[in-house]
Amino acid sequence: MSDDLLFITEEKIDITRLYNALDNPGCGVQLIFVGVVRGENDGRQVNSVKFEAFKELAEERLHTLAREARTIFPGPLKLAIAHRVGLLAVGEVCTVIGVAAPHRAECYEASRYLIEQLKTRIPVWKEEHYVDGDSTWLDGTALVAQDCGCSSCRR
Amino acid sequence: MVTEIRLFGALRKFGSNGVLEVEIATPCSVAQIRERVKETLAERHPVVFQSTLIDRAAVADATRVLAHDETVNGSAQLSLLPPVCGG
Repeated sequence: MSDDLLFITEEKIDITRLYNALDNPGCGVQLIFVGVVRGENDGRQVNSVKFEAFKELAEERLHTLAREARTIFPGPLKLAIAHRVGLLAVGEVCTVIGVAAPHRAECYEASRYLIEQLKTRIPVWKEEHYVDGDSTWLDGTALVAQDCGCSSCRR
Repeated sequence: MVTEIRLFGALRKFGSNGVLEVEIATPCSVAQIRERVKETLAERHPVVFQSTLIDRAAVADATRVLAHDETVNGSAQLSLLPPVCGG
């Protein structure tokens, strides 16, 4: 049973809480990735982004990703992942991925792996709101039933 | 029977408070549910509804995404999930 901290939240993400959750004497590196709302996308000026999630399934899949990361990357890993939902202004933190690992190589690789998988396998959607008053839901990646992450299982 | 299906993301606007009620005879396959939803939305929103949204949407119960050929019974809590783009 891992003691990873993995959750979807409507509240502002407390990065310090996630950082503290990475404490592990077997890990020599702690890495925090912070995703924030960008003020431009495809040449359009973004005012805010509304994030929506299927919370129960999203958190279940975050645990799947965590288990998966442990089979890929060597050594003890500590993981702390949070994704915010709701209407966020430009510059607000939407995603935090914390990884602690024995060495920097697997720490960077695990962090990159987790954010890339999160973007395509976790049921979260975003609607961009532009300064001109328009808004649109962004397209993304279709979810599949077998959530193992391998390319052959993607439809 | 009438089944309630939760809608997310770009699909949410096609339901009432994010929920779509469709008449579905269960048990049936996930593929049949998807087709029934397409028919229902095409009837109710003929101008704005794009069926490709449903073609690329996943069907889930309370805890997992269901396979295309999986059988669903009448008590399942279903959701329709368009392509995801978190992070």
